[in-house]
Amino acid sequence: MLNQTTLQALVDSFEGRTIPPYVLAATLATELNSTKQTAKQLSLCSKNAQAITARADEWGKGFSGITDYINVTANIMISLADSVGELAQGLTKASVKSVFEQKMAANLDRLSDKAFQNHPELHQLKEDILKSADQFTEKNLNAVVLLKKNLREIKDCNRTLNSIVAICRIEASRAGPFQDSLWAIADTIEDAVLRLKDRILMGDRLMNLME
Amino acid sequence: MLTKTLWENNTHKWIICGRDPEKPDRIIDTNQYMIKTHNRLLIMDPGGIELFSAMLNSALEYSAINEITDLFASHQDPDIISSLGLWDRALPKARLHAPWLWEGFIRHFGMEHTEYVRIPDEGGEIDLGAVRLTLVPAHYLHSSGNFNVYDPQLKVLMSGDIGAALEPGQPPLFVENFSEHTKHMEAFHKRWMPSNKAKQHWIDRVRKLPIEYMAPQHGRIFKGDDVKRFLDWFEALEVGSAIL
Repeated sequence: MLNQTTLQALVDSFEGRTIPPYVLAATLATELNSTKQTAKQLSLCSKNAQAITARADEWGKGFSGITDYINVTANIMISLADSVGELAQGLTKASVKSVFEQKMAANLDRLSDKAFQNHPELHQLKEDILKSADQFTEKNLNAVVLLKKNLREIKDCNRTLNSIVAICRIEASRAGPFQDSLWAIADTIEDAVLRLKDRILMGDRLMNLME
Repeated sequence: MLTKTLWENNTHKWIICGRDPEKPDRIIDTNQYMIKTHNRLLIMDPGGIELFSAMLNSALEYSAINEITDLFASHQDPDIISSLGLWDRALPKARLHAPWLWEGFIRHFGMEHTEYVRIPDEGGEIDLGAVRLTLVPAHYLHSSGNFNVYDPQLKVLMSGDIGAALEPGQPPLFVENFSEHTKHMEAFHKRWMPSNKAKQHWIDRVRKLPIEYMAPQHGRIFKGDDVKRFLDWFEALEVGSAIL
């Protein structure tokens, strides 16, 4: 996984050359892949918390109200992470196709005027290629907008989870003999929040590079 | 695309990428192999243009883009290296190890930033730091300038088109019944391999190598005794004879 230093090294290695959008999109897909795994762990953690609160009976009543929130938020995150992965992979493919269209258009541009005079159908071909290139560009722009939206929503979910951690700790402290077990649940969620924050930050940086 | 670690030790691992369900039907199925060390990634026979996006995604699961430092092309065919123009843009500092014979041809795929490392006819090495790979000559099998990659640590031979099989669907990764498997290899070897002399030369050479796994670019991987069975089968097969 990339961190701030390795991302900078990656950017520097291109020595001022533009990093192809398909590289950034594929890197984004890889870097945010762990978001889904973390969200799945959170969902599992909420199930674990449910089991503890059931055993804790009266002691666990305060905490049990929170477990559903954790599970719902984790499931929203899983779905958002899936969507980010699909969008980023789609963007990789479309960016590759866009490179070919641009190459084709550039090659047609180099044809002589005589070629266009003798073969007027080349005008149509060039127009079609440019139109297709525009369509890919538009598709890519839309994908970037959607990716940004999904990243924002993942960020919102993470903020919610961060708030839940504080509530978890309060409720865990009231759980008497079950305090340690529920405190450990809060620790797990807090750790996940930090990991997610790190990945979201990386996602933001990669999105900035795309722009 | 299926991406799976096949073999590993404490210095490096071999990864296969293939069996891509999204691959267009009329494109021949190919196996791409990668070797990952702690800070470098080599992609062997990275494949055609149509596979590029899937291959890029697979490679980035193991390395950042600037750690993909080496490409290897066993020969010049489009299913081997026609994606070069895209890798050339994607990789900031990479070297392509390929037969000297094909340089002028392979550059037609587009190559501005990548360094072309010419492999001489007698073979050579790829030094990834953690592992030194041997480039084994396999000329005329089928291409007139052609190499295999041998890993002496893990005893793996990436054999390119030698041992290739054309099977429909998504066959398992490893040969399970050698005799049964030969029917998927026979026509391919008879038609694509043009020279019995070159074939025998290669067999004599690789018989001297300890090989645990032989990994071709199409079809299934041979392991253990099946490697020897393949060499015996190939030795007995009359090649270059499919249309005669």
